[in-house]
Amino acid sequence: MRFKNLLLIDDDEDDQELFIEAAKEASPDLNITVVPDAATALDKLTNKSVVADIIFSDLNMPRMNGQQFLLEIKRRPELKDIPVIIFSTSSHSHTIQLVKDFGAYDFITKPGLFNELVSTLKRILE
Amino acid sequence: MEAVIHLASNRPCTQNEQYRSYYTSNLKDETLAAGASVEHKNVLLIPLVGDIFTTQRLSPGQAQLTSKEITVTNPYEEELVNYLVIETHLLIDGIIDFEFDQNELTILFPGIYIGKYDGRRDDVLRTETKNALVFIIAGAFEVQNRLLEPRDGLELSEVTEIEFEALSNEAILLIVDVP
Repeated sequence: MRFKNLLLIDDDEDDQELFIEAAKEASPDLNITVVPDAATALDKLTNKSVVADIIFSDLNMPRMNGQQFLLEIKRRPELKDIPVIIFSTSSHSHTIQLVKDFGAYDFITKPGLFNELVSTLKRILE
Repeated sequence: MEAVIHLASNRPCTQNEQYRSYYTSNLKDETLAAGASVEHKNVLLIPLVGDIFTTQRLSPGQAQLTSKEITVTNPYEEELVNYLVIETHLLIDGIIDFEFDQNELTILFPGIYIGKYDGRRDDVLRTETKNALVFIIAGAFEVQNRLLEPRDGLELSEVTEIEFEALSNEAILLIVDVP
């Protein structure tokens, strides 16, 4: 397994639950931390109260959106190498291009089906 | 009422290694490389991702209106920045800090509105000029019964009320009255 500690940033509780279940099925030994907004996640990563090898972040969130979060991660030498995957309901081509321009490791449109989400996470995490 | 949709993917674009600008009527959606600069005049500047430097450092949540020539610089060493440039005839100079009142429009400057909405929340703006440009910054909206996604624009003429509904959470739109 390449990744041990996964950080999920998402303000939607239903999406959080679905993601955690799918991630545990995709990679049972994974440590998963959930933070509901990007600004708090950035604080926790900076002060090392959260450790992450890989980050999945929603795009449209209160306080700080996913693109701004990407920029802030890339500005911090100690965090800039953590792969950040934008995980959004959007499949809009311009949005995908913009987040990749800002250094996203990948952009994934949230699958509608649980099994699809498990497959997607297996592909990324293994 | 007449309406013209400008889809994000069909916008005219000017770009080089340091700069990319997509055009939607009198609005430009610009991305600037680290350290690069570009000049503008008679514009409203709204940083979207990252800070820009003009006469001072501007962050998301701020907007600057200038009637003078102004140089926009990306102050970072490595990162890109993304911001909007709206050509305006307003002869006002100023910088404002704004916060979103969730599900309400905020007036940035006369005739220029921005709003953040939860999914399924709707609103109406009564325009004085009868011409307006609606631009979607984030999320999706239905505006005057037309689906608009991020960075899509809708030019409206002969309109007195603009009706819109957010189709996703944390959706942000900008409305500019056009004289």
